[in-house]
Amino acid sequence: MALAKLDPRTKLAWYILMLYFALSLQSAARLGFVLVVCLLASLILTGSLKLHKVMVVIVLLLGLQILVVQLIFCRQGVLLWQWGILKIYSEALPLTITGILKSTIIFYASMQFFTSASAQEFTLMLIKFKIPYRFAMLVGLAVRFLPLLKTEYVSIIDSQRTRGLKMENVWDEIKAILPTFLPFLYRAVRRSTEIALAMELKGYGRSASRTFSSDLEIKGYDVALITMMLLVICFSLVYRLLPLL
Amino acid sequence: MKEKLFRTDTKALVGSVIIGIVFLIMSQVTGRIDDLLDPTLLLLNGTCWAFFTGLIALMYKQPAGIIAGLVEAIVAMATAYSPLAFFFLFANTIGSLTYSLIARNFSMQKLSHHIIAQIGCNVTGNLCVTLGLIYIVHLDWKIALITSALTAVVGIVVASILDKAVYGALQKSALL
Repeated sequence: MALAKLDPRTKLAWYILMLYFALSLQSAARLGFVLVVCLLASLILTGSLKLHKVMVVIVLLLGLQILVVQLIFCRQGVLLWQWGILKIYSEALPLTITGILKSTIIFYASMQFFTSASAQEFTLMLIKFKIPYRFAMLVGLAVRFLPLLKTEYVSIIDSQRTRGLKMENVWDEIKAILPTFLPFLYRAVRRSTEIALAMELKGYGRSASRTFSSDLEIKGYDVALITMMLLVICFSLVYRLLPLL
Repeated sequence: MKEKLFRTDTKALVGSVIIGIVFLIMSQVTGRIDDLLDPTLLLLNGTCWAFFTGLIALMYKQPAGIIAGLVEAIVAMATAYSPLAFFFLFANTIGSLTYSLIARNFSMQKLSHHIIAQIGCNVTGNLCVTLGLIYIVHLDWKIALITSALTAVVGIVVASILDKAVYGALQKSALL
């Protein structure tokens, strides 16, 4: 798979490029083009878009949020429909589409970047950026403990339900936040104390530097790709700033 | 006397990641409830954010507050849990730093201390979210400012009370 051959720094440059476009472009057509390029890059590098099927549902939910906000608050364009204080204007839909495209590019680029490499590769990348290993190694810890803590939270909810806590509707769920969350927080604090002690006993943080079983080596094509992406950002910035000078 | 701003021992670093994940899970839970009840105001989610930002900064100081905030923001971006997720990077970082800078001047024994620290945290954090509402959701700046201000007011009041109660309980339990 071509994606695995790329250095995490190249993937980071790509991620920054996508974020830059998502935040700087304003027209739906241009944003749509960037999204297509992003999808094509994924298709070329991984050979399939199967993994991204789940994205469709998430984007629909995201779109629904933006649409509701625009329908309630948009006051641009011509008034199309009114019901009491609820007014729908003609610009609501175009603004929703632009908002959805921007959010989708940010979400997709984030998903692309954070699923493209292992925790160790991210750690090594941070080490290359001269971040002390005591901080860089926290990436692995986060990846390891995310599913564990999620399972723990579900088990706390289950045990509170067994004790008679109702969770049948939204109101019940709001009332259940405190009784489920407080035990979860206290258990997490106790767990973090135990993990920290175990890590220190194994020598974590004892010396200023440490060795790793693997290393990152930036290749010629990585350098070329990073340079190209940085040049695109530079040219785009110059193109935007020139009319202001 | 001013309290220390930084704490870089292993307990603080590991705690930042673990409590950062708790922060993330609770944000997702409250965020989904808000989507059903108040998709524009995000009162529960805003309160949850303010509470955790304050609590982590009090428990583990900096850079733990920033690390926990980054964990929450990065996973929020990768899971698309909010269109404003990118702006959470800045809201969490700046909010946590502001909280720490204010909290170091107080003993944090009184509710008023927590309220003052939460005002700084909520104002700076919600300003970042306001920028997100303007740039990503394309809301008018006045509406964006009003919704953020409402979220901030609720966050300041509720999160201060919760922070005082939970931080006090944690200190008594000797878990910190």
